[in-house]
Amino acid sequence: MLDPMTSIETLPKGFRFPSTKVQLTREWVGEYMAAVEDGTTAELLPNSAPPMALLTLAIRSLLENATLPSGALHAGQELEIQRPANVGEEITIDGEVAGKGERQGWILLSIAFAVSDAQGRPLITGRTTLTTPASAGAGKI
Amino acid sequence: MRAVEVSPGTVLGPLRKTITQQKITRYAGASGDHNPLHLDQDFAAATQFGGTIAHGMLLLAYLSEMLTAAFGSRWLETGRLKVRFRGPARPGDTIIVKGLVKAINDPTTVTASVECRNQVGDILINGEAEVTNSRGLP
Repeated sequence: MLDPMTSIETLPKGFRFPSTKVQLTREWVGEYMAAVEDGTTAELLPNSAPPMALLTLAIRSLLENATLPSGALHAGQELEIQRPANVGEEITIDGEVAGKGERQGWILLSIAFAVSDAQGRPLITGRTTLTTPASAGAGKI
Repeated sequence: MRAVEVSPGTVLGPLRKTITQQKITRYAGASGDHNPLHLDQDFAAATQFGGTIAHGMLLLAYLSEMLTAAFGSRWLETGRLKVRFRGPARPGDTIIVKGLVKAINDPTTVTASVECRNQVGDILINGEAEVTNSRGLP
């Protein structure tokens, strides 16, 4: 079990985050879509969540397991969509530290993740790259 | 909504969005990302950015909206994206999101460059997106 106070940049390459299950509720999808002002997915696929909503949940879930320095930034993102997720589905989020390095006083952390449905079929997969000052203090992101 | 017919050179978008602190705060609530760099004026003022900035994922949501408008369900069902975050979006900025179809291969995969810029032309995000069409019609 990962101590939630563990600073994420101390995790070693290959570290696997605890698998997390999340209910994709209509309430949260509505909150997300209002926040990003995007009605295009709902217009095309009325019962589906936008792919970036799944990505948002994936990052949120992974980062709930550890702390990040307050100045941490999102440096890069890769994403592959397998199929849209339906509102109401239970999704499972898995991730691991896929790469870690330091350059010019900044730590680069690459997290590979997969979001899958209740049957274990992938919905989205990808890789998130975060960067944080090497000397920053830890705080909850 | 209908996806646009595309060929190499087709411009995707543009989509324009205005960033406000209220939108940043609302996104923080939905995403659970309460990094003070996005929300705390005093904290953010002391950083290299000199003030609060929008979440990168908020800009990515705008990029996805543009791609949904351009490619329709092909983006939602088969999309692939690889981007780098190049610069911050600040409250008051207007974000221009667009793309350019670079190639249509095999012949069902469409590859496009994508970007988000601010109102003075600074690149905030750039990279590449792909969609495929299982029906074989790009």
